[in-house]
Amino acid sequence: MNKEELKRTLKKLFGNTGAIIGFILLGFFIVIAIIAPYIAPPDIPQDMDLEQANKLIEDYEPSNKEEILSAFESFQQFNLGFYMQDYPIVKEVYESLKEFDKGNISLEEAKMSLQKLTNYYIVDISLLEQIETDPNAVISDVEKVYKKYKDYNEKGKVVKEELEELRTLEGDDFLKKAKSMYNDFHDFYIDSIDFDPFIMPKESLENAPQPPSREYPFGLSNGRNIYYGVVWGTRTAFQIGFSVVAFATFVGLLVGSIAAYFGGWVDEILMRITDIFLSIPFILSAMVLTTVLGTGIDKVMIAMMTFTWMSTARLIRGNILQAKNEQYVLAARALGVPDWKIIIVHILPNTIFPVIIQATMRIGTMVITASGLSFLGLGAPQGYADWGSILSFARNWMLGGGENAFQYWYTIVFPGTAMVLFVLGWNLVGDALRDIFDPKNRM
Amino acid sequence: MNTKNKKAEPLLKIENLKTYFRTEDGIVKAVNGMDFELYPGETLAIVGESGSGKSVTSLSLMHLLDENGFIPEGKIIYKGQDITKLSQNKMRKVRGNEISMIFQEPMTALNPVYTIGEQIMEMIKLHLKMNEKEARARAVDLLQKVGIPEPAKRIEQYPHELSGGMRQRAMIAMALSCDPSVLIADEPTTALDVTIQAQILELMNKLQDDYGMAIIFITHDLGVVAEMSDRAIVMYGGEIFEKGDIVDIFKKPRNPYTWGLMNSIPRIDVEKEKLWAIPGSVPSAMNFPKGCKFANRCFLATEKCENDEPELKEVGKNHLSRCFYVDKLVEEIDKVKAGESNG
Amino acid sequence: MTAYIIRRLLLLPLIIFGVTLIVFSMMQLLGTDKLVTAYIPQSQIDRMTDEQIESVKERYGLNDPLPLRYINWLGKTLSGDLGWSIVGKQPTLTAILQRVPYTIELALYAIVPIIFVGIWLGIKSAVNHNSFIDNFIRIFALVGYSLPDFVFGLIILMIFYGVLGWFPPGNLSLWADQAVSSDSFNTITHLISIDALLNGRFDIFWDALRHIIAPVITLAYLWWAFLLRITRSAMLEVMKKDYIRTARAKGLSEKVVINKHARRNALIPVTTVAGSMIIGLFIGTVFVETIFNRTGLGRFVADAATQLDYSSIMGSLLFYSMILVIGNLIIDILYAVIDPRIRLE
Repeated sequence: MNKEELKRTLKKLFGNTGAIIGFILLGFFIVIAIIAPYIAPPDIPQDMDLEQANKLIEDYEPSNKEEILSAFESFQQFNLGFYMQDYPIVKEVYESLKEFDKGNISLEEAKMSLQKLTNYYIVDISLLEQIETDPNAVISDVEKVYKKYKDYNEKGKVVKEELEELRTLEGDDFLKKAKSMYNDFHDFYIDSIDFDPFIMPKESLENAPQPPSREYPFGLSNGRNIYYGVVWGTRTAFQIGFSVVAFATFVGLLVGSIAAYFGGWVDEILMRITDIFLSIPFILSAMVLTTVLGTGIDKVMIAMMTFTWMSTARLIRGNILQAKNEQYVLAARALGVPDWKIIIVHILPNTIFPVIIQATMRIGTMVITASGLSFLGLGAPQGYADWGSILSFARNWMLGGGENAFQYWYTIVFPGTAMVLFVLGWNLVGDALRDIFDPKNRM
Repeated sequence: MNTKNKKAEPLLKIENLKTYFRTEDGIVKAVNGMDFELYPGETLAIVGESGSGKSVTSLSLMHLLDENGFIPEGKIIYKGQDITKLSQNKMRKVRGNEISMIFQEPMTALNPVYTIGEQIMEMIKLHLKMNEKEARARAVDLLQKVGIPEPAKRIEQYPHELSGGMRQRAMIAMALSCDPSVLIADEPTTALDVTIQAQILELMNKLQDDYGMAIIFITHDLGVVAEMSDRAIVMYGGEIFEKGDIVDIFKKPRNPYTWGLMNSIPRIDVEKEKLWAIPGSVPSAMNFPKGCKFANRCFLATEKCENDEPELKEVGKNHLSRCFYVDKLVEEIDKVKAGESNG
Repeated sequence: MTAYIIRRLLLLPLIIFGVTLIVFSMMQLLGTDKLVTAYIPQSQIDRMTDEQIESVKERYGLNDPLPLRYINWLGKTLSGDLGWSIVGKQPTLTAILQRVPYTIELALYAIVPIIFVGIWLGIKSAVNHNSFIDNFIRIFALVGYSLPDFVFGLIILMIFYGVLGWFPPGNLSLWADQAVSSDSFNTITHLISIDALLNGRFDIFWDALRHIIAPVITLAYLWWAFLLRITRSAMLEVMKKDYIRTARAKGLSEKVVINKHARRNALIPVTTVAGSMIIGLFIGTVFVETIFNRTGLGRFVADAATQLDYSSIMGSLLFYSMILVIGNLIIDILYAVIDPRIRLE
């Protein structure tokens, strides 16, 4: 596209009210997704010692130094000390298992060695049985444990050294180092407890929905903070939307272009496979695969990825076949332009735009589907920040609420609006793109 | 061709017709003040390149402009009545009944899901108020008159089952079904093979003899013009640049544009070094230059041409031209003619 | 055209074969332990020893090599044995077939408003291109297009049941349900409302109607938004065509031009879409049936999924796929028949 066309395109884009609204909506959601941790801060549990240390650092006085140091040491003791203590044993057992694997020691000896870990509850006692039937699994489990202990052991040593250093410092130097060490510990702690900000915090044990209040702007549903869910749900939506569509587009492009380029047998086979996949209704296949794979947002994404690449494949293949027969391509070939050049210069630009447009419109659809699955209780785990998940809580209250159902309006309206606006944004943008790149299709 | 009495009342009188279009990028001035008459039974050709405004003129006559088209000024007087002022309802009585039109692409101009019989009879039933049987008889008769063999069979066929030439004949039959006084033919043969072209033209001539309607023949092809018309209008930039009897236009062209068009026709009888073409291209209808619209391509243009617009002036009997330098043109033409005869 | 149809028919078994392969593969991802639940209820499994479970696996061929397993499974499936449905407490195929009429009824009631309103509004919108009506309709349609069915369904439920109390969820009120299950009621078509009429029971008919309106509204809004876009776009395309100009040049009234000449051509692409839409309607009732607590195939699948009833979901998936494949084939054949241009190719 040359400069003149670019100017005209931009003018059309900005003259189109739909496009502007769409972009504003999407922009809004992108911003929310980015600042989510700030406007809906996750409730990260705190380590007591660290909390104490932090408080002391905030109100620092030279006399606090000892207390801070002792807080840090207590933290180190509880979080790293045990690992350091048991590391030698773990290392020993791991090495003996490796010997067993090579066949240098007997099963009995291996089991005896393993018992040292099971006795201390470092690994589960079932491994003692499992080593007979599936030694490889046991070895890999122990290996994981070993790695963790090794890491923590290293960390522990480093921390000890740092504490030594800290002890020697005074005044501002001390404060600075203390602060940085605190941040370090903080990150480490969060890492170690596997905290997932995507799980909506449970604010109340009562399941009945609580109306919006100052503390909980969107209210509570099944004890969960709806506001938090809606905000973090934005991130979920983008995650799912982008991943699934990116993958589907990529695979679709691959399959479609290979089919179109080679033609003949390859084309037949690939297209028949595509037909077969297309013969299975999408929602249902996603449902079934999610059920089979289990809970987890990643399982939902995999399930969806498996069954959406087909329309992209067909689209690109159709476009390529059409472009191949266009006059300008035939002309280029008659002039002796090499194949690869024709593909890049002529075919690609004319075939890629519909794919892009399709991809943008699909993002909305994917998010709806994923939310739908969460709504049914498949895919996302209980209380995950996904708009569909929040809506699933609403369902029972609607049915059971009878005449009073309306009082629970907030359980539907907030997540529902978010979803509608999100999809609307993508649809508007997709529509606008379609209008621009193919004016014959003006909607 | 018909030579009718010119003193008769004109069937159609166009006075200062202007047709503009509203577009995203501005107002397009497609027709900029056309004046001409059409007499009963004659064939008037409107000649011009693409973008000269000739098709728009015909669409204006029929009130068939797109949504964004409008007629800011001008009168179209048909049989004494100014039809620019007519309501859509009244206009519908004129269309097809009094003034009929055939188009360039017979394939797309006919509805693919109805038989040609249905499409012809629909018109007959509407305007002539005939019943099914009468309409059908008339339709078959028409198809025969336009030279379609086995008309009774063809009447049940769909447009895509007929060849290009046949379709155009069918369109002509449809256009003439209600005995209109004026037939507007917008490039009817451009999309057809040369041999078919000749047949269609012959057909139209014959039909004119039989039915006596006047024909406005719109084309860019001078050869066709010569065959068909009594008079011709040469259009450029939405204006008339030359107007007159066909013999005058061809033998005594009095406008550099007309002269340029003539010269662009390849001829077998004269030796020429190169194929001559008018340099430059038609100006944008949104942004006409000051002065004569043809100035930037005219070999006789001077500064005066770039600043003032020439008016249509009489240069012979019933022969008008829009140019400041008609005399100079005549000189040049004589020179070339002399050169040709010297070989 | 005949060649085209023959080709499609020949491909049919291949496609069906492919679908069964995919479904089978998904099943195998579960692992043999979970697959046992497809044949024996979980409560029984819990009481069995490992050896007993192994023998069950042997019996159902779950330990056989994959190809053999597939053949056996395919054989069983084709003969109608889809396993045992935990949700339905009956053989899976029976469970499916029993619930199909409910979904058909829902789809049928929804089709009528969708098609008529969608096409009518689509044409109106196109003819009044860019006017206020057009823009209003387009926005309405765009929202419908962006509104997920379960969100809209919840809202409808909230308003029409929660607030207004007009349209309760479920299939029938208790008394009507009892009446239908009684011996004196003749079940002919298995479609409750129709059967009610055939039995002369207008009270049951009205009750069924009252329960079906809300889900129908939900389905209708979303689908006619879709149909409206297609119709509008097709109509706009047609209005630009040369033969429309010819029709006007013939002096026909605008009404005739639109209704006779334009519409017939615009409806051609719309018809293909309508066909796919009807199928899509039938297949897409999962959320609506779940929210409005109705019996039906969609609800069945949803329940099966949450209860990990593998036999039911696999069976349903196969069933739905068959409908999709055969339905599409029928539509393609019909399309070839409607368009005279293709008919004679």
